[in-house]
Amino acid sequence: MYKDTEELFRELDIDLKPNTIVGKLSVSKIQSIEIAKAVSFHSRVIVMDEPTSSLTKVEVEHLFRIIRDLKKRGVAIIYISHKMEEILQISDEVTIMRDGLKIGTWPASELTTDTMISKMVGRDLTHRFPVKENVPGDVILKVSELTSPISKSFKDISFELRKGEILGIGGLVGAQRTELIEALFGLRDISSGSIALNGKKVKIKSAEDAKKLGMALLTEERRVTGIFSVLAVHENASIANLGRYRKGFFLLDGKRKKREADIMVDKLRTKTPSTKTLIMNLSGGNQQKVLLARWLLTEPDILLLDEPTRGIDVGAKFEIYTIIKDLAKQGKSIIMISSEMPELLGMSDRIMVMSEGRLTGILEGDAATEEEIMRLAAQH
Amino acid sequence: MLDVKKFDSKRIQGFTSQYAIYIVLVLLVIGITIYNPAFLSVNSLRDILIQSSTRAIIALGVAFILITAGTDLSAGRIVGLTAVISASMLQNENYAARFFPDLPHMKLFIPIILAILVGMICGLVNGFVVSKLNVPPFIATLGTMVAVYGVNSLYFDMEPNNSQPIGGLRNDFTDIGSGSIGSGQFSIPYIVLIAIFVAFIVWVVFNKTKLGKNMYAIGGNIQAARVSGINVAKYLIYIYAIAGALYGLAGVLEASRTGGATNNYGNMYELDAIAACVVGGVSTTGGIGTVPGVMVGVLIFTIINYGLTFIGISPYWQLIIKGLIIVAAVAFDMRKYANKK
Repeated sequence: MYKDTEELFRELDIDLKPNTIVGKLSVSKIQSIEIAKAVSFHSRVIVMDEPTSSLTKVEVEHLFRIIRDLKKRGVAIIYISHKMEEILQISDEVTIMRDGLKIGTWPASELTTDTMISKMVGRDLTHRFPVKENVPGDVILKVSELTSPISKSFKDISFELRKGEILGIGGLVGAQRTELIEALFGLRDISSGSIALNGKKVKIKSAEDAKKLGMALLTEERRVTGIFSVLAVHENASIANLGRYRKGFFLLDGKRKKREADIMVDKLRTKTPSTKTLIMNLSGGNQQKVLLARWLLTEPDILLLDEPTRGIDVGAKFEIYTIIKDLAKQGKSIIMISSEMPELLGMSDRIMVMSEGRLTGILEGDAATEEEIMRLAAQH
Repeated sequence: MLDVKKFDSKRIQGFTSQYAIYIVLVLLVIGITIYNPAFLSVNSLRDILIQSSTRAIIALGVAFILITAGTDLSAGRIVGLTAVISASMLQNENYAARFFPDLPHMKLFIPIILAILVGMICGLVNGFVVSKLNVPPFIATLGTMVAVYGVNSLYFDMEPNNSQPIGGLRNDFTDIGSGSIGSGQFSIPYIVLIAIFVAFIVWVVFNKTKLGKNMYAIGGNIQAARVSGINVAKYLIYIYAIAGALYGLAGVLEASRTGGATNNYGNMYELDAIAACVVGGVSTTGGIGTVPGVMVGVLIFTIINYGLTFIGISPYWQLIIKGLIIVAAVAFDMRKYANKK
């Protein structure tokens, strides 16, 4: 068995020992094993659902090599992705679906990113990103030499965030971006460094503290750390804001709570049959809007968004971008982690790039290029 | 639109599954009544309600824990401890074998409150061990279950009682468990009124308070609850403490209703309570459960006990039927939320 596994790994160019515990591996390695598993079954068809959503560029290249190799062996691959560039790069034929319906199938050579997007959205999107209308003001958040107690995590991170600014954070998987903003939000420990809000030093030990200081966090793993799948949409929206609806000694003003949640959910144009629907029945994009509504109800000054459009279809993406830009225009400050270059470039006023836990550079949004971000992201 | 259709079929499915237990309840009553029409009488109804009362209070306590995606094995033993404590302090002064021979006459509420507080402290310990020491609820409450029985047995074995059943309880105490408002056919037992009152309060807590909302959130997704700024540890401790207090109240009522107590009171009651909750639609994976559901779950089990005995079915068959209902209910529940994750 070990030998067969070793053989299989070698064939697929996977750099792993058969007796390694899977739980300790990175997502990309686990994915390679999944593929190896499919190959070992002599599968004729392999369906890959968003296989690259948490892979680095190098890992994506590796995956594509495996896919091309499988293709040569006569295996058919159904490759589901939101990443247009990848689809064009790897596919022979592209089928586009919208709202559960098939729009059509075309040879990949006949398509471009823009034509695909317009087919997906059902209308022409002249701009993939809304126009910038926000004007960054005074510094609201100042982070100085923030360091994690874990040695391979973030180290000596210093930056400033302005009122009404969208600060993008770019970097490869493993750059410790999520760890950094979760630490800002009190979910992870800090060993040294400081955080100052409006010029005043603050201690943030829990999400409860962060919330009280006017911060909000949209996590990367919507299903794992965001939604309460078995609760109704309005309950999901109001959960972070219960303190405001106190009525009497220990009761809640349920009517006002639901009304305000309903209004916010509606304002973000969430598609749901009713706010009493369980959130698990909504699409990813609409779930994300409910989570945004949850945090907007707390009236935060600073929003930390971790991959806010991950796994969301193109139409809903644009809506989320519009909401984010709108918030910045209203004077809210936003930190947005994104692994999608166009998103970083199209949305951010400034882009801060991290590599292996260190800050490698902060670029002005207008001046930044994809190449420069990549160069900083790969810097050691 | 396609979307709408999907949601509609879900809603219909939701409707039948939501009311499935009520249908089971009605079928059960109809079945027993066809077999023996005498079952449908005010007396049976009163008996069923009395037998359901303490069970309902324990089940409501357990429901708090189950909804947070926890479990509580210590409920029964806490009932036993608090039954013994309240009984030991509320015996007639002229009773020969008093637990505390020289104990002066106390106001009725003092030992009752004391017993409820003891239950609450047991719950606090559970909550602390679960939320601060991160011990899984199954193990934490298993430990409490065993240790509480030890404490109870030590207390029960004190001189001069030496593990003799506690009896000779004061009339004003036993009145709570066996007295009623009004007289004759249409009297309503106090204990039933207490259970209804407790159910109402618990319903308010579940639906109208921050603690209730946070309870559903913690059970629905503990990580998301933490990210939402809910102080998970604090609320878990509160919730376990409330459950403990309810077991304490149930222990007091159990002693009062039966007119005595031993250290074996309450043994395995938690399993009945968990079963009633699960049959009543409380999800063992957390985040789901209602007070009416729990009450119906409790009634179903009492009716199986009482009704099947009434028509002369062997208690062994009753166990088999109960077992089948528990497993069927959870299988149903799992199917209902199979797409949760």
